Amino acid sequence: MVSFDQLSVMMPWLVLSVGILVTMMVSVIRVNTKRPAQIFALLTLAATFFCAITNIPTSSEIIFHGAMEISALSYLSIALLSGLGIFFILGTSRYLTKEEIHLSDYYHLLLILILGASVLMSAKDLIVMFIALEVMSLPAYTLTGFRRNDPKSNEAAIKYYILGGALGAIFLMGSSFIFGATGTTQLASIYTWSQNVQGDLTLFYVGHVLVMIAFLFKVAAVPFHFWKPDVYEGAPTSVTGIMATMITAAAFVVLARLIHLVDLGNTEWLAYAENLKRLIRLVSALSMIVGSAILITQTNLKRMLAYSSISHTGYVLLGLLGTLSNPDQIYSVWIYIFGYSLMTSGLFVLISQSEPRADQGTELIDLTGMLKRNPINTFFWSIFFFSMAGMPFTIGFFTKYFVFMSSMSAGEAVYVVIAGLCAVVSAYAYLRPVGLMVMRDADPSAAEWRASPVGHSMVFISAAFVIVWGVMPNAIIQFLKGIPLQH
Amino acid sequence: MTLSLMILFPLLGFLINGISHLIAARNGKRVSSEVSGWIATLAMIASFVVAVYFYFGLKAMPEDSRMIEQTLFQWLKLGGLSIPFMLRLDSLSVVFALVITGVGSLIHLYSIGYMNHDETPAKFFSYLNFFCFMMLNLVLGATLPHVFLGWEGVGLASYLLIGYWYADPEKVSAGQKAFIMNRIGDLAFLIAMFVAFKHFGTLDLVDLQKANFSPEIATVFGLLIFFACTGKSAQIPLFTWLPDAMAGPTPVSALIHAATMVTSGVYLLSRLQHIISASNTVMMIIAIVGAATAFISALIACAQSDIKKVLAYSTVSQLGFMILGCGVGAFDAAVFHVMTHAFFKALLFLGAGSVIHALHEEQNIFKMGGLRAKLPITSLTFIVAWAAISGFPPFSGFFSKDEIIFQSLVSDHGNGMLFATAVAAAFLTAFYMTRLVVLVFFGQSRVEAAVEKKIHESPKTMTIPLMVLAVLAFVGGWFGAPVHVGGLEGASDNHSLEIGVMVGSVVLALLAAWIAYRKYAPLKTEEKANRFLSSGMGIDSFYDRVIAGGTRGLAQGIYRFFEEFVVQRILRWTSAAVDLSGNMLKVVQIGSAQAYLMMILIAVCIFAIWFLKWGTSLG
Amino acid sequence: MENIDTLSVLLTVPFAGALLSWVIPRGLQRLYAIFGSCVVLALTIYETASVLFATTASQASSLALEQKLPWVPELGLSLHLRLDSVSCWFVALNAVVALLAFSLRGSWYRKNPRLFTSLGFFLVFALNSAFLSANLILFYLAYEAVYVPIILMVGIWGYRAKATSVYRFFLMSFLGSVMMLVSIIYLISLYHAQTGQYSSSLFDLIQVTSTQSPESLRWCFWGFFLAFAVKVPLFPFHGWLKEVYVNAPMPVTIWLSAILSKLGVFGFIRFVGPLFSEVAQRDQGLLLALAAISVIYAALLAIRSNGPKTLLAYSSISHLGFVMVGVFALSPSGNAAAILLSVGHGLVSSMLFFLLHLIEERKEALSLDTYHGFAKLYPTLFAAFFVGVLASVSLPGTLNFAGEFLVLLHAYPASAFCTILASFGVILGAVYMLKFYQRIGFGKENPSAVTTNGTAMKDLSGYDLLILLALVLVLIYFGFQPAIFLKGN
Repeated sequence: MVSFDQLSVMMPWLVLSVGILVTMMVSVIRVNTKRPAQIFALLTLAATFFCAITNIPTSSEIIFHGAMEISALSYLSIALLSGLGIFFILGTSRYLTKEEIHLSDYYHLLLILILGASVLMSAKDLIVMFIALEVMSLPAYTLTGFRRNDPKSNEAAIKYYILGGALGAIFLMGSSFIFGATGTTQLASIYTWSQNVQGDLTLFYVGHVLVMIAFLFKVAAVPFHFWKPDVYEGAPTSVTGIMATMITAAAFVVLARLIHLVDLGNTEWLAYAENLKRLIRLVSALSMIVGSAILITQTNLKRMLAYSSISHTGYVLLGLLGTLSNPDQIYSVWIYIFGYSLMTSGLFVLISQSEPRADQGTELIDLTGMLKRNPINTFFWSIFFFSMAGMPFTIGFFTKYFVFMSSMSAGEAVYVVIAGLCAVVSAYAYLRPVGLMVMRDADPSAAEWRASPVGHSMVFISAAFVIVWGVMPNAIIQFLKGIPLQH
Repeated sequence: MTLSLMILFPLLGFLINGISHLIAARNGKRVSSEVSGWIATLAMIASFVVAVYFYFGLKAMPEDSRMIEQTLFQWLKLGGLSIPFMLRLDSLSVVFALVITGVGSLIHLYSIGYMNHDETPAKFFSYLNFFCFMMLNLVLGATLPHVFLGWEGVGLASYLLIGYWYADPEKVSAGQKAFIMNRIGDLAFLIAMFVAFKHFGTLDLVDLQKANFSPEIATVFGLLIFFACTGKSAQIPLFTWLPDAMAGPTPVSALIHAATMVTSGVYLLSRLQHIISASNTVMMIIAIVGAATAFISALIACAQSDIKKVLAYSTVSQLGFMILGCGVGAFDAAVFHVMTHAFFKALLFLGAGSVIHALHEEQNIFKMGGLRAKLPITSLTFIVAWAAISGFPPFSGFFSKDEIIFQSLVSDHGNGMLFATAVAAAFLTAFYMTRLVVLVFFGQSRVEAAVEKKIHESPKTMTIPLMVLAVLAFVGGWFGAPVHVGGLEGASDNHSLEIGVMVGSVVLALLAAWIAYRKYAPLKTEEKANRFLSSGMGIDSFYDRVIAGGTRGLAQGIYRFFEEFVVQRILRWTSAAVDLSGNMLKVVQIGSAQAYLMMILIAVCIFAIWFLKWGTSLG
Repeated sequence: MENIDTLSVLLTVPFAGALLSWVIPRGLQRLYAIFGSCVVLALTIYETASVLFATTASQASSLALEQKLPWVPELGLSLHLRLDSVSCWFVALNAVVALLAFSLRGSWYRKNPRLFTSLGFFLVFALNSAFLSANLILFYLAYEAVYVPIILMVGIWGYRAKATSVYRFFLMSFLGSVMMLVSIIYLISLYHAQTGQYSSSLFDLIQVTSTQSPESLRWCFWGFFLAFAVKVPLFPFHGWLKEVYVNAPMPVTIWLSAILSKLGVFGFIRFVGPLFSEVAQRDQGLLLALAAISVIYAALLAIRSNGPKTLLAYSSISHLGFVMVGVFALSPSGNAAAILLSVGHGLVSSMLFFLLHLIEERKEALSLDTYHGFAKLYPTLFAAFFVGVLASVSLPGTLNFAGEFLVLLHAYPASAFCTILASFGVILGAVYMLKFYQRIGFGKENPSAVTTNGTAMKDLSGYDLLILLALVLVLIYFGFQPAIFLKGN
């Protein structure tokens, strides 16, 4: 029996869902024009954002018989998601018109994606998780293929769909194993079960690793990353941005939950915790190395960012690795997700401002001579790339610093050194575009960069945050530090 | 009156002339040699007056406590080291101070006439003053670093003055050679200071005398110091720069490369005699090097055709005598010879300068001859100098040189071998000097007709210094060493032997002079010089090939085989390796969904099996 | 603590300068930059003086001004500025070098002048914050921030091979500094483990390392070492240097050789020394050997190098080798001497590059392909040039002699062999510097140089003359009065 106050805490989600329905209606009524859908979508997201940000709960609350947990984290995540939604809709509106994907479906699919992601972030039950995962993923698949007359886009959609489906199935399998081992699908009860266990746990181990793999796939950790470059390149830039920020963020929150599925502090689990560390170390190191190594060979901006995000995945996993020893380090992961979304969103909006050349994506070569052609853009690009490289006075430095700190205090010095080396390599990759912009004169074949005022203001906002929080990170750190990983 | 005035006047002259030269040159003007020359000369005379004043001041003091000190300021002070900028005048340094300022003044005066056709006389005189300033620092400095200041300062001045006419690459490289070779010696000086500070705990020259040390350290220190001296005083192995140094204007050769700078080695050795004479090894090496240098360069001098080259090698040889004197512990005699040599060698150079001036830059002695009549003053003074250097009594050279030769036989450090070498060198000295005089002033003229007419005696400013120096070269030896500076352990008891040596050497000198006269007086054409000797025994080219070439080769070597081959290549290979690995890892991106799915599922299986089998017990 | 808020002026003013340059007309940028750097210089002199001639007892005892503002407690990052007898010299040098670098005319004042001045002042700001910081994270932030303007300046106004050279420079330096960051994080985590607090304050971390066994800190030490060895650069980490020096615009070359290299020296003196005293002691032999080798190695390369800029680049490495010999003597006196020599080298190398630029300007104006007999054409310029050369071969009476002499004297007890080896640099230095000077200044003066009255440039302009005169006087005066640099030791 669902009581009213349980609904009241669900307010942001309800607002969002209502908004989705309305937007759908509108798009059905006024098929020929797209504006209303866009406007309603924006209104919805704004309302959601407002509703979430204004009443962040101090305590966490389990609702729907343990299906979901409404906490500061979940409010924050929905706020972040809707905020990013607004950001992308505004920032890439010109791109959408230009690409002729400015369709009303685009907007309610986006809203559904956000709904799925936000539910996923606060799901406390494997079943709910699965549903949310699919609710999030299906719109993503569709959106990926949205540039209908571009074979690359369609191909990407298919790949994404097939692989995503497969991994969804693997998740289900994993959860069924876990259910078999523990007799429950609720995270909370699994945790309590884990506090006094006996007998053979092999079944649980396998189940656990499978569910984790499903989300390692979503965050594209090596060796589950193959899909990412192709999908990033094929998908419309705006959608790539959405994937890079929203889906990754959601997936990481869940991953953090799943890794801490059992009470690792418990003596029964110490050996298993070691094994988990081994897993995370391996995946993290692989992601960092592969990501940054391939990163420097890329010439296409979106592919480059795909590999960059793979290497960033590695860093976040480094943070998670630290949490396995002392869970209070989890805020390093929050900070990283937050900062990463911030700079990536800005970057993708920037990319979306390029006038594409004959059926090509945006290449590095398009940046040549930017300093002459468009100084302001050069400035933004440089900020984002320096932030990506982890230069000081950008948020990128602190994100790296805290994950390093997290794993260093867990005694993982070796992996921090590896991370450092990878950071150097990828820093080189981020420096190259900057070099192209300031050192070379424009390549004749380089694409035009048309700045839309709205887009620019969006870029400006994210750049400003990158710098401001890069210099004065106190507020963010304090805030995110207060968000534990609930059980 | 304070000591600092002595160094202050030349400094002042240097600044005035230097700045006026820069201002003039900046506006494309020229300061006349009279103005700048007199400024410089007056500065030197003033400083000479100060020196004389303090000389009598010292004389007035009791024999054992003759020392005047003045601290100007604290120079270097760090961690147990404290080097004040202190001037100290004692019986040793006063001799040098007098020579530097006295002979210096004369040579400055001489230069006014000599340089009057030059483009930038102000620059020349500022350099000269700078040299004297540094030279005075060298002899007055109370601490080793202060001496080193002068030591390198005079090296710099000599570099500037040798390469004074820098439009000519020859002269420039001669200056560079002098500077580098001196630097090689200076390195030894530097290291000697480190040793001294570590083992003696002080760098003050007086405290060093009191310092107690082990003989090994004394040997190391002594050898380093002596090596430094071979640089400055042009001894084997570092003597080859001095003949080249003749590229500079003749007054410079007279002042720097005959009278003063090159004798600073003798100064340093006698200054540190307490430590040096504590090690017989060092004394022996010094003596041998000195004797060898004296003999070899005398030999080379016999085969030179350039008037200044002859004098240059003669200088090296005379320096060899002085060093030999130090080596046999006759520091007194050595310093005495420094003084007399300053007189007659300066005179010789200035005379040569006067000849060259008269013959319009002709330096080949085979294109001279019979100038006695045309250059009366020059030739007369030159002959006085000849007598002095050849060691005929009662000219100054006789006393000092004879003292050294005698000591090389009788002193504790001396022996027959050294004595024989010294005598042979003396014989050769008389020979080549006679040869020079005869070829230049006697016989009949071999001067080109064109020049023949224009020959004229030099102006007063040049002849007056010649005459003054001639007097000094004549009487300079009569009163023995001006002050006792130590050394000379109980030798002068054996008078009969001393007389014998004297007579013998005089007879030998006469013999040599007679041979030379018979050989060269009738000479009409150029003598076929011994290639080996005239080229300085090929030592020069040997150094050039081995040391300079070696360094260049080494530089090239490390560039080729390390800088390019290792350092740069490592950088290139690292980036290449990263690129390569990136490209290799990229090959899995074949773009087919099935393949991806395959790989992912394989990975899934691996992980699943891992957790299935070793969920808790891996590793 | 006394005058609590004065120190931050040294940061805020350059930063303001960086922002202000965007509202100054393009034509006035050079004047503005010179004026700005003069202001910075004045402030620096004031601060330095108030440290060295401290009146109040507490300062006089420690010879230090401190200022501490909280910044990011989670990192233990606080704005902990400290101006003491070590840092003040680097800060002062920074101000002087900035003035010199900004004084040069060139393409940077024609193409994007605003950006140039802005980046320049940002560089000054970053360097000052590095030199003032007594907090490791703060230092790291500043240390990294230095790259940005350098990379951009070389990238925008540099010459032929600028791209590869600047990437190479960035990669090697960044590799070093990331390793340093890892080591810093390690130290902080140690502190956290001991106290439960986060702090990256130098003095707190010294507490930590003093309790650790040298063995456990070894790799940490090498992390720091790598960062600074690349910056100095110490053999064999000098691979990046030549290309950048040659391809960078002259002001950047001046900055690189005169002050960025000192960042490494400062790092060793301020951080590595106190933090890892025992560890460093263990490897002292190796360290000294590296320093001595880089003296000789670079000197030899300088001898064989042809381009004047290349030659000066290598000579810079060689002289910094001397500095490092002093640092690795690991004694207070050694450090003091090293600081003295750093200042000397900073002044001389910037002076020489400055003069080289003036000469090349004239060379271009005369459209010559070779140098010849310039000394005759430009007497005052070459008088200054010669003093620079003398100081660079550390002739007694110059600041550099005082530094080099004291360095070697105090390093000799530590390792006679290495010291003597390094001393050979004295000879080699003379060889290449004379070659350098003579090639440009001496020889027959160039006919075309004399004839082209119209295009031929005059001797030093009044302004350049003033600056060079000041430098010459400083080099010689402090050559005889170096005591002030050694104060507090």
